[in-house]
Amino acid sequence: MHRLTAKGTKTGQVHSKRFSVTLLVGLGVWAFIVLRLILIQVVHAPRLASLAERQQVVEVKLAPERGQIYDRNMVCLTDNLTVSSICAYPGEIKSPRTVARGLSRALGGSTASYEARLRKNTSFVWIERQVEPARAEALAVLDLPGIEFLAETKRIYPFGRGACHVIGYTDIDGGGISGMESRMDDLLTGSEATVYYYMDSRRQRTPAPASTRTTPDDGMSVVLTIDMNLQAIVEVELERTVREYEAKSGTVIVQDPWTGDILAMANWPSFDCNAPDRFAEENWRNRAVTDQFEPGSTFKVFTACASLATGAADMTSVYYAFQGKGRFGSFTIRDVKPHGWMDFETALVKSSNVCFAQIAGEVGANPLYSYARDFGFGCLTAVNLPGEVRGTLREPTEWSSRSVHTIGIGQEIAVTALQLVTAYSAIANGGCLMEPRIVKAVLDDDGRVVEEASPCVIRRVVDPEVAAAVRGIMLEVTERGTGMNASPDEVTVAGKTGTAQKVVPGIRGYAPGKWVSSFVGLAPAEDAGIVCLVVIDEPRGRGLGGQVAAPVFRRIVERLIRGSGHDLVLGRQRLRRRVDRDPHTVSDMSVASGFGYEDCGSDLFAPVGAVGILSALPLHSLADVSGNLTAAIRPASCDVDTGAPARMPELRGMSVRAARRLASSFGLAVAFEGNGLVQAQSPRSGSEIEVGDRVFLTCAPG
Amino acid sequence: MQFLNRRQLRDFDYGILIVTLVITVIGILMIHSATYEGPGALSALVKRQIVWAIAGLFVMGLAILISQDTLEGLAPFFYGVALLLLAAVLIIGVGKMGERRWLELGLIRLQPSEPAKYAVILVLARYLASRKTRLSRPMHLLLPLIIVLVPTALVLREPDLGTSIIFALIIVPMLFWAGVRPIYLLLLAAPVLSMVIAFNWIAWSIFIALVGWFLYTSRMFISDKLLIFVMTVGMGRMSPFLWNHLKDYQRHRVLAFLNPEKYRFSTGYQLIQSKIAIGSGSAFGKGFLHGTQKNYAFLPEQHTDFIFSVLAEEFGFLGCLVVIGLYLYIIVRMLRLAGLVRNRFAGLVIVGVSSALFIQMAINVGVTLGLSPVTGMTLPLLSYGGSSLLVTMASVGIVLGMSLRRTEY
Repeated sequence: MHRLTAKGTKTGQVHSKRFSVTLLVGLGVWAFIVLRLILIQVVHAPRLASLAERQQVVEVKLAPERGQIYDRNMVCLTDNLTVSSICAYPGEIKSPRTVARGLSRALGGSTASYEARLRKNTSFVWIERQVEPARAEALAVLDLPGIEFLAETKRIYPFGRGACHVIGYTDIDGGGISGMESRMDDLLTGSEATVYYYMDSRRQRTPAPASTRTTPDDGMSVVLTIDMNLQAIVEVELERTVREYEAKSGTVIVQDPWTGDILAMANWPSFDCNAPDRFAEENWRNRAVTDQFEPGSTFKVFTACASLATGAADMTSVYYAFQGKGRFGSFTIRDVKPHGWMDFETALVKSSNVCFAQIAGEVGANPLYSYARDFGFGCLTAVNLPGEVRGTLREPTEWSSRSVHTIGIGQEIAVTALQLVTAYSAIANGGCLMEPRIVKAVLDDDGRVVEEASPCVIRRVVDPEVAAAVRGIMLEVTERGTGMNASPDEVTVAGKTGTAQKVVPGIRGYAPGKWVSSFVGLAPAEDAGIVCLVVIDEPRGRGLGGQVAAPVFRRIVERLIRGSGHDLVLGRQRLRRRVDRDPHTVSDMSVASGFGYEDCGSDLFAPVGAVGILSALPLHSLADVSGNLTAAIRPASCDVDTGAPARMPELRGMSVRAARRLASSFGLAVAFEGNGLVQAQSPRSGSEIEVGDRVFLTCAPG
Repeated sequence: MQFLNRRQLRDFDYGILIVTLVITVIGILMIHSATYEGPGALSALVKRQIVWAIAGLFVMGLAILISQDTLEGLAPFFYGVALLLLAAVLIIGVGKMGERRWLELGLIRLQPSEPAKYAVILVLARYLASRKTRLSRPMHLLLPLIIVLVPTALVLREPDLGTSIIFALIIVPMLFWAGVRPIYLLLLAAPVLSMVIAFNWIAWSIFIALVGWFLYTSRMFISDKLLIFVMTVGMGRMSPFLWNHLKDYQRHRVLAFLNPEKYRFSTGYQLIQSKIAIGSGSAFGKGFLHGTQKNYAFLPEQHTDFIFSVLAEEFGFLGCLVVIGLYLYIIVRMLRLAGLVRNRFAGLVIVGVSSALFIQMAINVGVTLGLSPVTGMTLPLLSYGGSSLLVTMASVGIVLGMSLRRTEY
């Protein structure tokens, strides 16, 4: 017999009612607990697990440092400054009025607006973003409750307005908005690193093993083809002329005809990259690529090329100018001055519309169109600048009977300044259309070259002989023709003037009294170092290109010759020889050549200044990968050539500006904190440094 | 004292003994996890718990040897000592936050409310087992109520709401086992219900009317009816007064239980964190020593009141099921034993011990699962705590002793 049953029968109580009831009640409670466990551990488990993770794992994003933008000589055109942004936690503030008063005293805003923000029913408000260090410090001293400082990076532009349209600017969060900053945003931004921490209930953090990458990839740096010395000259001269003639706007581009490098690109009106909002929206436009205009007489050079190349004309051809009034069908073309018989050269030198309308007619519609297209008109240049337009060059099938004549004299066609200067470069270099370049190289965050743009020939447009013949005529233009004002004493230049009437929306035909004056010059005339286009939009008065635009070219060339850029203007061969003989030609440049950067920008973000521009010369890290760097001239102060290691200079006691200037002359990247005089430096003076090293300065007033 | 014979060895309930030891060992492991200090190291608390467990084994052995007659005889003495200790703890006791729960006895700290539970069980069992005791009328329940209410009141004064609730709850299954009609037990609950419902006076009025109508129609002595009615009304009237007499933290615990999200950063924090720990353990747990809620100190009172959450986080639903299954095993086994023993006193003691074990387990686990307000109650055998472990093991020892004397009258 079974043991349990045996006992059960003995006592008779195992299966009693009280046993069953008690057991049932207990089982009920127990089952209830199990059900609850299932609910929590099975049904709600995913939600609760994510809650656990959310409170235990903190994700910290480490922002990469944005890459810098350099000019061709490794002058840094940007900087990242660590600044304080001020936020408030309204919940922690008991007396918004007192706190607002303190904020107003330190930051200078109105008490009422701060108070309104502090009274908001949110947990977080921005008080002021990217505050000057001095103000942040003044606020920190007050030690207000519920106010916190967050470190943010502010993008600053030491040159202020300098090359503003090329460099562009970023928004307050560091995203590129225009210019290079926008076009190269992906490269410059880098990628952030996400670091995970475990956090305990006392908010103590321990790194989680899941974090693989703990440092962000800093952005890459971009080296422009721009030469800030030249850019500075160009900007000053452009501004002066635009103001003098009360013009609406103006553009100057300087290009190296042999490489397509854009050495300078300036527009007026311009803006300060540090504060673009303070300028009208029209100032932001990089007119050199975004605006098109009728080139007028400057286009005749291409008509001349087409006629010489096709054999429609040669240097001996003669034309009658109909005393300044030529009829083409029902249509009349006029000259500024009446002329009689002229040979081919004189027709271009005197810029006779009547003669060139005839020449164009002899070339014919299709050849004229294809030469214009081959010179790059009507096409995007593919330059690395945002907002480029392609201009207007219609197909010959859409042309009217007079189109061939008007296009031949640069009407009925619209070009961008960049297209025009690039086409002239083809004439200057013997007939090859070069791709215009604005980016010279891309450097990684250690300064190594990742990518380098080498000069790119798009196509041969005309034979060297044709180009040479046209250059010969252009030389005559500046010697005895419309461009005499363009000719400096020191060097022979070639060029072509243009005075185009403007097409204004709403007015039929051309707008009376509105002109686009232009001049394109080659300096020197043969073996040109630079091709420079000057476009002045709507100058006051008659607005002849030879009177308004040509002098700008002359002054730029003159200042280059007297100042730093004489090598450019004195020609490539001579430049090379000069560099070999005398490796530090640039250091004896006089500051007096006046690059005009002393007064731009606010007091806080003071520009480095002219001396800084001059002394901050190329990083040799660039030179060893780009041997064809045309202006790779090393500063005298930097003895990298001798092989001896450079020593860190003593920077303490110097002004921030002077310290940066000196440090950058050693090829050092400078970062600083605070303002005023340098109090501490890292590395110490006397320690070995290499070009590309980083220097950190701590500064304080007085 | 008598020597064990073969029959007794056969009757001995090895299951209860083994499962008790298993739970104790699991408890030590969980305390190790909750107080983990790195590989190879045992925290001071684990070492202390191991010492207590060994001491508990001795006490258990001693308890097995004591005969049930001796226990029955000594019950009033234990009860008297318990009352004295409970009174003493109110005067010279120590504790945190103004509570007085422990007596400092040289090296060790004693929590008198732990042994007092079992003293109450013993003396109540003795009273209910007595041939002279009559339980046919509600009036007869007054004395057992007083036996329980005196220590309950003392514990409440400490204050230790959780433990005092156990005192009050143990009495119900014991009375039922002794033969009190279930309807009387329900009527006994009427005053308690009245206390809770009193917060809404409309509901309370309806409740009182219902109770009155039920008593009017039922066939009971008029004095019994009056007693129940007066108690029901009286407790209801006293309810707001009692509520106001609770400590702030006690009131917060109740409120936080009713609405944990609202008290997320104060009292509700414990409940929410415990639920997160248990839930994130999901089916199979995060593994021994790998509970993140525990490691990052989100879990409150890890080694005492919320040890079950640590278990749930690290061993998941499966682990929880095993552990509460072990408790269920002990309790079923004890209830079965209670039905088997011939001695009426022994049966009642076993019911009392198993109820105490079960109620404590249910409330503690219920707290961690958000089923009950935070009471500050330990999980018997599993939580850290010397007095509790020692006394619980002693009580299991008593039950085991009764298992080998099951045939004695």
